[in-house]
Amino acid sequence: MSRIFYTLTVGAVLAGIVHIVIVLLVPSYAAKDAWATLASSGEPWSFSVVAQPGSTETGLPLVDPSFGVAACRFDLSKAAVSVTADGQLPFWSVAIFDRQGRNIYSFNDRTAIERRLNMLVMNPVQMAQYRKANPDAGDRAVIVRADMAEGFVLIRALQPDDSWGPALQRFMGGAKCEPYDGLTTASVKPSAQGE
Amino acid sequence: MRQFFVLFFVVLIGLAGGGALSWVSIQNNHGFGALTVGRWTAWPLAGSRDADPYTRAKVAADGEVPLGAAEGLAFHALTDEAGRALRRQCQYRLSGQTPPARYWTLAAHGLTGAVLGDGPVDASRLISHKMLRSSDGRFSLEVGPRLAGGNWLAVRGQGEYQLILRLYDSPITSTRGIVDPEMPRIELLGCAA
Repeated sequence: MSRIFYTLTVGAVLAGIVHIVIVLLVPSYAAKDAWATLASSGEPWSFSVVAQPGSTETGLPLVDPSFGVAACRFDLSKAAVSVTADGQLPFWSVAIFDRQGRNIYSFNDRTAIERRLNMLVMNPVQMAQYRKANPDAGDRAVIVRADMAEGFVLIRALQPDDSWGPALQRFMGGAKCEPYDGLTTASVKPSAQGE
Repeated sequence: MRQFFVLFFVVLIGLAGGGALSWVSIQNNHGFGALTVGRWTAWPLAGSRDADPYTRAKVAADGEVPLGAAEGLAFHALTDEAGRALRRQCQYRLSGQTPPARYWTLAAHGLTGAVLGDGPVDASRLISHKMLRSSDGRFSLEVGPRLAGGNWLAVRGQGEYQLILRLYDSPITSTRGIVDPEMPRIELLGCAA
């Protein structure tokens, strides 16, 4: 009798350990996570459309059908990333995710400067270079410090009704996601050499 | 031999029990970090670096990209007020109000997250600023296969589904201490045979 009790107890403890291990490992081993889906549908350093408003064919699950969604993968170990878009829409938002799909930073059109999307994502080293190259940075970019290598940026834009379709397509089609090269070239400005 | 059987059962209980427990807790994550209002559940920290392991496992297993704190918050409802699973062949009335937000939208999704778009295009999603409201700001809308006057979200077909009400640019994500957030009640009106 005590043998059965002993077996069940040890089994339950083992079940608990297995459970904890599985829950902790799922984010690393999920085969269909957001990154894997995006990697199969678009090239890095450019926006690819994840969902069009009203469409049931969406690249990622649980996407709001009232929104247009586009994603761009980048790699900060290769270059800082500059994201720009210009669209006068009622609502848009931007979110940066790391490789595991964790949200690093997000903001919406009201937080943005002049409601234009202009954002630089840099790791701490690139950040230091940028600060050195632009000591009194008067530019209008939202600067995001992200201590990571691979990641992706997702833009979502609300289409309140069909009349906003062209504006939304302009916003999504005109969105750029490029390697930012202002870190090294700016540090050898002519004026700096003259001093 | 007897030792071998004991060991065998211990390992069996461990793997089967641990696996089942993980699957159930990841699929029905209503514990850690979940914010439940009536029949609606949201995960304010989903996707953030502060998310608990269960929420992170669920996000990764679903393959979704959750809304960031500055974007908004998604509330999921899988049952009506009486606790019965939402079914596509049934008509529901949602009434009440939502926490403050610049915009909110209502949409029907399958249980795995696919957008349901079987109804007319304009009626397969609802946006807050187009809602007809009563004079005190509350609203009432119908969800289901039957055309309804006023606010209507078309859902057609068969099987269970979920309703997702997403609040965009809402203070509920920045100040989690909103006192008694109110979400619409979900009442069953009737089902087609």
